[in-house]
Amino acid sequence: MTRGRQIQELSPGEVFQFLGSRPQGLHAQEVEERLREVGRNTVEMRDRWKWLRSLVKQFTNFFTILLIVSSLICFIADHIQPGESMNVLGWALLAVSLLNALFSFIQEFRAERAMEALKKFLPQKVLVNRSGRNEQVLAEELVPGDLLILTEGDRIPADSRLVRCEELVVNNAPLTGESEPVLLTDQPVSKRLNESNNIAFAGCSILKGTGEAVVFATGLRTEFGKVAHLSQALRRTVSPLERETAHMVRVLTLIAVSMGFSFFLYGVISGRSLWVNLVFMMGIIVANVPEGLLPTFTLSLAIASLRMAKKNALVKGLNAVEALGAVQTICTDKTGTLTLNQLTITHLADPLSGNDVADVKRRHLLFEQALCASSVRMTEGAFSGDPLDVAVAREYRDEGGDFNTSVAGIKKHFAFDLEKRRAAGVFVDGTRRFFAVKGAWEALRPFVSALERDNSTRLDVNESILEKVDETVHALAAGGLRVIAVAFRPLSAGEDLEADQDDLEKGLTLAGFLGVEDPLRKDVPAAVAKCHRAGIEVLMVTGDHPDTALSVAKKCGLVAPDDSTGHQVLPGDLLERMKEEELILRLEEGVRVFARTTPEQKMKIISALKSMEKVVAMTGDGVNDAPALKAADVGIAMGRQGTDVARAAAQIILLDDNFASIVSGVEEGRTIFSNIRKFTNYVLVSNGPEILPYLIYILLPVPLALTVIQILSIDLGTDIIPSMALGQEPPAPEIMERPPRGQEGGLLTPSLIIHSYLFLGLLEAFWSMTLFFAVLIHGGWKFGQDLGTADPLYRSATGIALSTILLMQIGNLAGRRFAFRSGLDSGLWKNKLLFVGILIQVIFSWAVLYWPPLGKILWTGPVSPGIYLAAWFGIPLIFGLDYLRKRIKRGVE
Amino acid sequence: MIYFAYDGSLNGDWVSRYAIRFASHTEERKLILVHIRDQSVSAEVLEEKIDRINRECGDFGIRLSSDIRPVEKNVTDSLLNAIPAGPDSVVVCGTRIHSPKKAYLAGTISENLLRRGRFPVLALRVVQPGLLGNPRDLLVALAGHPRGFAAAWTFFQFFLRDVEKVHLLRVMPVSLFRFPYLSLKKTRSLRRDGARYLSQVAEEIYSARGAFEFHLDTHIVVAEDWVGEILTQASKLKSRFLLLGATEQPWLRRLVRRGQLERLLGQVPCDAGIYRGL
Repeated sequence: MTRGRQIQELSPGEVFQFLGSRPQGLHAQEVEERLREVGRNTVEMRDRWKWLRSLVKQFTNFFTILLIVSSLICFIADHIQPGESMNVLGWALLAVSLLNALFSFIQEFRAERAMEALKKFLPQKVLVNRSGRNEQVLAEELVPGDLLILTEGDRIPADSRLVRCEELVVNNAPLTGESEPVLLTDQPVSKRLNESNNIAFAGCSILKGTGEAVVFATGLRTEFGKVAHLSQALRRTVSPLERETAHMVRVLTLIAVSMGFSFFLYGVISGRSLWVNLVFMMGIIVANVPEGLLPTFTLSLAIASLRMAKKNALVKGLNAVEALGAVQTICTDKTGTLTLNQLTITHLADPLSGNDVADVKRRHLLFEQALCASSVRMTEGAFSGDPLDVAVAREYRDEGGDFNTSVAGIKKHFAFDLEKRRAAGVFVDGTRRFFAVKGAWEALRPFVSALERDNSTRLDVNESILEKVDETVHALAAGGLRVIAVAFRPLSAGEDLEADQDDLEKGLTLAGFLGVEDPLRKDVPAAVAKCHRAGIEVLMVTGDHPDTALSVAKKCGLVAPDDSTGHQVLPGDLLERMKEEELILRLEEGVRVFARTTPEQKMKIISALKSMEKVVAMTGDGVNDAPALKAADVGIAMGRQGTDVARAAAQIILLDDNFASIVSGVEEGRTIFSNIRKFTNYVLVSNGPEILPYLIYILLPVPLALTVIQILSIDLGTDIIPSMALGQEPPAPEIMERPPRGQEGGLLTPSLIIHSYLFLGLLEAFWSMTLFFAVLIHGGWKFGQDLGTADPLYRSATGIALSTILLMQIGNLAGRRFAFRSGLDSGLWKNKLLFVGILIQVIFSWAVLYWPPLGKILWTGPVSPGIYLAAWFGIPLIFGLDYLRKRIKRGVE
Repeated sequence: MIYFAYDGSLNGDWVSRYAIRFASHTEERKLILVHIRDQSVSAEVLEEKIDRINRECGDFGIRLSSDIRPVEKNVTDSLLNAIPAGPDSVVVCGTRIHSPKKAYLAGTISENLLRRGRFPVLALRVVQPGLLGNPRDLLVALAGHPRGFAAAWTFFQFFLRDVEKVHLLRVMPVSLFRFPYLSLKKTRSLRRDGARYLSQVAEEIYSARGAFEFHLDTHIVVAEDWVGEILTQASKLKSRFLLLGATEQPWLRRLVRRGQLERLLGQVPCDAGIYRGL
């Protein structure tokens, strides 16, 4: 054994020796032993408890635990003192907790589809040679040392080293993202293992040829297995909204529980009965917890996701809606996302000057020669074939060429050869006959002996002329063009048209260059500019050449058009050698374009950006993009050109593959967060008048102004539609003019708590309690007098307290629409849900007092019309004072 | 001196490539193969296998010395008697062939050797025999040992000649219940601690690696599942070998860690070595 060798560096004979195998394959006993040692050849991580664990996890968040404990207390209370409908309340709370948990579980379950798509890349059965016989075995039973028989059309089941092959060509796109076929060899190569062309990689497919290979890695140890492992093991980053919601729930739970327990203890010490204390503690907890808030979050996000779908962004995970709004960096592909993915010939360049060929006849001939070296078919009125060949045919037709006649003249075609990097053809039309070649300039250069000039003149070449041509090519490439050389040789009458390509390729005349490019999508520059105004960095991550990438980056505004430093481009080979901290430094210095990048390097870019605490969106389409799509805060797959695996791994699918749709999604995401803040503010206001009655009840000898069931009728009833209405508010004009809110942009900020609880909440509490006591005193109640829950006077008093809160929530609702404006000034009635919400509050405020069936459920009763009218005064009271606060705050700011 | 505790198994055959490579890095250029006859492999098969190892040693210019002994009290004690204690005896052994009822390391002779702490021990699980004991891309998972890289260096030095990429990983563990609520401030602080530790280790490596050049990168991850995170990083970084320290902690924590190590060895996407230095 030579020092430091790996499997790719061995000769075929040594491969058998070192893997403990032989040309006749393994024996059954060896297979059994190896299967025991390394396990089955499967990329699926089997975990029978996975879904159970996931389900249990949904019940471990503070909010759900709190709701479950509250429901248990209700059931205990009902057991101690039946007939108070506490069991109904218990069931309601339990149902809310279950719904929340199940919804989250279903979301997680749906997100785990990537594995199913990945499994399709591996075969079920394979042909192996064991004990000297060819036999079909289950691919899962392959072990290191097994001798695989590979034929055209096969999918490769495990990483294997070729020991024999005949013109074996594979498609490694699932691993590399490159669709160009790769020719394999069975000879030793001294490259890195995963770059070696004598290895057949699992998940890839055989395009043509046959071969035999010895398996050396199976299951998750294959390169494909690593992609599969990451696709399963990488957990979705906690979205900014999830983090902020968790924080909010923690704070609210802490307040609720500590308040509930403190006053429970106070009640015990002050000698109240256990029942009263339990009800009281329950009330405090229920009043503090906005039970309807999380379901409203979910509903609002779901509706926003429908709006995003209309803008061509299909959302798979609801949290992605808002996460997209929090994005600080978008890493985007080039081809198909920034560009149209439609090759177009934009230049027809003279070999020496590089200028566009103006002569119509010369243009026609050049296209005809290019077409001669192309393979295009016309099917159902459209061209089909290689994208470059299709572009040639389209341009030829657009320039007035007769496609059918010209194609009929092609007597022989030499298909594009990977090694030669060119295609060719022989054209005969009457006396006109020529041989034409089209391909990379480097490939044609050795055969060129002359240049075509205007007026059909020729210029013989020497090395200095060829160097000038080289300069032309570089200049065109620097302009972002893919440069294709077209050369030809007139064929004499007696020349053998059936000759080999090698015999025909001599003394060529260089006709010119085709400048090919993939045009930019027309709305991309505006979308990029919008991102920049919104403080979002856009990075291009592409497998293309740095010059091409930079040119497109300049055209779409990622890089300043006059930038000539090149500092904003980082090629993949440099990126490969960089440490994460060095990459971070380059990103801070302003790298905007990653060129010649492999799908694996996307992970490196994401890791660095995450270390910089950025919220990252990453686009991808290939199988190997799946890990990066999962690792990003928001994974975006291409709906048109993306693979099933990428689509399954992503949270958002772009239906039109267009970058501009991502930006529309960002706008929608920012709007939804802004709206979530609005309705969180709205919902927390009603906590004030819900909590205060309990505090007064425990401290003073007065009746309880609001029962638990009445609190729930607000939190889980009347507040839901208005909250959703706020969730539907249109984006503010300045939403894309301010920077992203960052990782710490909180939902439950101290200012929001003060505004909700201590200002608006207290106002609602004050007015509802005032009317509550007004009804009691007017009805003859004396301070300290105990009233039964069935007492009509008590029912009327609690009824007006509830009714007042409902009406005042209308004033609160209008005020929440804008931070500084009144809320009545712009499109109040355009938001139909807002109108419905107000209507519900009005009807409900009346029904709790005057509609006996509802009064029976909520233990409420009627009041005089004058008192009910006074409750209506609450609307201008809360709205007016809040507006005054806005004016003062605006004046101060 | 490299001692190779060979059990005659398939994994043992694959582990032998590492032992040979390690021996080629020593001044003695000698490998001592110790086999305790416990009847798990027949004498003929053993002879054939040792012949193969001897041939591969020859390719490297290594002298192989076989020490085949009968079982005394048990295999562990026999090995302890055969291998001199002390830091100069570096022992390479394999994890057990897996079966549904048995663990990879727990309860094995390799675990006994690691626990006794008589000499530096590296227990290897080979899942990619195609690497031929020459992984080139290493992931070194560090748990924050106060001695820094000293314990790992004993084994790390054997990879120096051929290694191309080394990734140092420090997983900052957080409890399962705390993790979802970990503040950004606390996360930053943990990452800072991890970065400080890894930069010290990187300095140690730079100053001790001599003329050997390789790409060295550091990674800090805050996670509640350190095993899952190491496995993820191994796949993400496409590492070919995972080097991980065995615990020297009290028995209760060792017991907890035992199950986690088993999970790691079961799912590891590359060859793995569990070491304990002196």
